[in-house]
Amino acid sequence: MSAGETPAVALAAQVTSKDPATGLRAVLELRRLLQELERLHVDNARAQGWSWENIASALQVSRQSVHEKHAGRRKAAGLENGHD
Amino acid sequence: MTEATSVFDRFTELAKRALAASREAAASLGNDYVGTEHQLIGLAEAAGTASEVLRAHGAEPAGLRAETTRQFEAYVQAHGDPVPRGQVAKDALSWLGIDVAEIQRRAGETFGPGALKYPRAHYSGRAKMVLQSSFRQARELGKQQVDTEHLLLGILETQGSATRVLAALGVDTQALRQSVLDRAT
Repeated sequence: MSAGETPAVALAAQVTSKDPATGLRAVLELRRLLQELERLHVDNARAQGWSWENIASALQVSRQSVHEKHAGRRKAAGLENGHD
Repeated sequence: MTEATSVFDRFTELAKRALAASREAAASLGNDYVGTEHQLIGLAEAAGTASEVLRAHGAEPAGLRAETTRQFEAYVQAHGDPVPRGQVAKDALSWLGIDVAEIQRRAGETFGPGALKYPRAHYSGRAKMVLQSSFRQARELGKQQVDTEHLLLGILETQGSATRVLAALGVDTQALRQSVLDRAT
């Protein structure tokens, strides 16, 4: 372990790619990153006046699923006012 | 009401603000999780019944923050630094060839600095128990929504970092609980 390397980096370098824990952890983190990216871009779409219908269509999911996932969060953050 | 009920509808506006404040408290203290100690600081800092009762019992935001930091440092002294989850998460993605810092930089260029939050602070097991307990407290007191006083009752019921902080500050948690109940009924 060279100076400046964190234990986590050293650990990541030690594990082999065949270790399922490494791959599965990467999948988990990718899913989390994807969720954050989705929030960011849904917020941007709403800020630009996109309807839930249009956002759902762009993401190729149902309107209900995108609304369930984002409307409550946006309301809680004071980002949604009025009806949609 | 045409909208589907979301979990957020179960909290009053003041309670939502207190929960947002607890997330900010965790970030400002450099913790990558939201624990009961951050929920307590959030309740003390945001407006509401919980904040008023806490102050009346001598639990001010500054004192809570100082004691929380002291206990965290004592923990690090005894057990070493907790594994920084943020770094582990970024390492996992870098193993895939994904450069999170670069993605965050580009998001920041378009949407402003800090636009892409990753990894997001997660709730500790006990912090989740506090939320569950607060739902129960509100229900038992005949309330439709969870307000700040129910969150505080949840914290007092869930023994954890928050109750240790209160004890260290010399707050009588039994008396505190009674004051909350007097205000909540």
